[in-house]
Amino acid sequence: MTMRIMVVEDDALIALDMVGLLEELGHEVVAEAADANTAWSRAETSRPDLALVDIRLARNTDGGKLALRLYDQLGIRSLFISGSITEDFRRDMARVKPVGFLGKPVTRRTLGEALKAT
Amino acid sequence: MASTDPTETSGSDRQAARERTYRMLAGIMAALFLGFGALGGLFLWYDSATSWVSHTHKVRTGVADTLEALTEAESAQWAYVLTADRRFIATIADAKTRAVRSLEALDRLTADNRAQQGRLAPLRQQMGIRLEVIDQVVAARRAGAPVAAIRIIRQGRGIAAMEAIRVQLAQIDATERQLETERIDRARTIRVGVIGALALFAVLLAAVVVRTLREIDLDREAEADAAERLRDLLADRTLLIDEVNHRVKNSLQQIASVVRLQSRASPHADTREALEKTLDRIMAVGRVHEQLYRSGEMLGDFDAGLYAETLSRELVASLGREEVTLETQVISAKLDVRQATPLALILNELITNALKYGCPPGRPCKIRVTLGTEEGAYRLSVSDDGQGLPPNFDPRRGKSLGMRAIDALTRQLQGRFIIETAEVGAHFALVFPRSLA
Repeated sequence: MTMRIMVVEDDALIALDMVGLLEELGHEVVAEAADANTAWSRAETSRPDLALVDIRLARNTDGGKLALRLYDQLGIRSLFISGSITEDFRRDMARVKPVGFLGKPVTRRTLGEALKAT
Repeated sequence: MASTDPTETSGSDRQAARERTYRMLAGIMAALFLGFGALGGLFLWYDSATSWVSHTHKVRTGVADTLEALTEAESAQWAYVLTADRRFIATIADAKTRAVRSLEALDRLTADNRAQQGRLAPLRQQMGIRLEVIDQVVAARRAGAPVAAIRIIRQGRGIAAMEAIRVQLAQIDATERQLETERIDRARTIRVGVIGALALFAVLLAAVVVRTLREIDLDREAEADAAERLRDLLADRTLLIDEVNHRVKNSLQQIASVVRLQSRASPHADTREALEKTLDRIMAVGRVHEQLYRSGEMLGDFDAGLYAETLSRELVASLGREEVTLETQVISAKLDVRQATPLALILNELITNALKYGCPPGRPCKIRVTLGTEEGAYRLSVSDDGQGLPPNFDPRRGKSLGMRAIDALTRQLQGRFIIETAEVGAHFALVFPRSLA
């Protein structure tokens, strides 16, 4: 099932790789952003089905807060991707029904499996 | 704090505090022993002073007793002369005995006082005379001659002796009274001293106790400080490790992403395959890091069995082929961190090779991964049920990077690489020591 996805990742090459992986998996990337504020405005315009969210974002913005807002105001769920995901973070995010928490480095398979969960 | 290392500083602080407490304790013990010694001495001195007072009192009682006995003998003598009642003879005898005993007691009690002894000699002589006169009077009266008896009395010899006795006794008593006063004064002075010393001792003891309590408090504070510093250090350290871990994973992701982008951009299948292989190797190393370190935990052990299980499942799953089955049989084996990466890379090569050559597309196949022990070492094996190796297969001579890498990594692990002969498929095994030399 093809989904319209927004990629929120501050590292340009990782973002490029994620877009490639998502397209290989048959999804459509409708928006990209490196920080939470840009991500928010792009999400309002493009209304993706799901957001792929890195926790630490550019300009010191926080992926977790972004995910809370995306779900609370637009009903968009997030798939988190980060180098370190703590138990506290999982607990704090439980409310917004995250699609999953993927540790870096991400492989084609782990990303595919996580997206199947939606 | 001059030192830059908080653990060191807090350690020496605590040690100093403890040493102060030990010194204080030694001080208290010494002070207690000295204080008790001094108090004991004072008490003995006071005891001796009071016993001298009571000694003097005894001497004075002896003086009074002597005079009283002689006076009674004298009175009884008069009574006998007047009444001739024989009862008075007994009274006289009794009084005489008492007078002699009292005098003897006086002699004993004043043995250390030459002046008093000097007064006792004439006293004894006069007393002899007095008692002798009484005996004479009693004898005369008993013979039935009261007049003769009265005459003897009127000669005045007995009365004169009695006067001399009174004078001597009065002198002895006066001397003792003076001694008594002096000794009572001395005892009183010592008693004041004892009370003063006791009070001083109590004050010192209280001071020592208060200081010791303060030292213990200081020690406790130093300990609490040290504990807090250690907690802060530990928190800092955990935070730092978390941060480093995060960066390592991010860097691995960057590398993986770049390789994958390059692979996707390559027009040639060979290049893409080479880059995908590289990606697998990067991921194998990344997984070692993943297993060694989990967020919020300390650096853990590397469990080779768990790793082999996870990696083989991952590689087989990423192949996405239903007809490939995986069979694993692994023990839990905690390895040295230095063994982790070479082992991971060897395992990665063996499994990807088995999948590539042992399981060509289009036919079902089985991969088997085991980890066990062999003669005190570990044995890792990977086998498939494919067509097997070419008859003259020599891993060292081949051009394949995979086999050359396995050879080099085996040496790094100080192990042996074994190619087993089998009827079906390729069988590889690695025997390596439990820890590096």
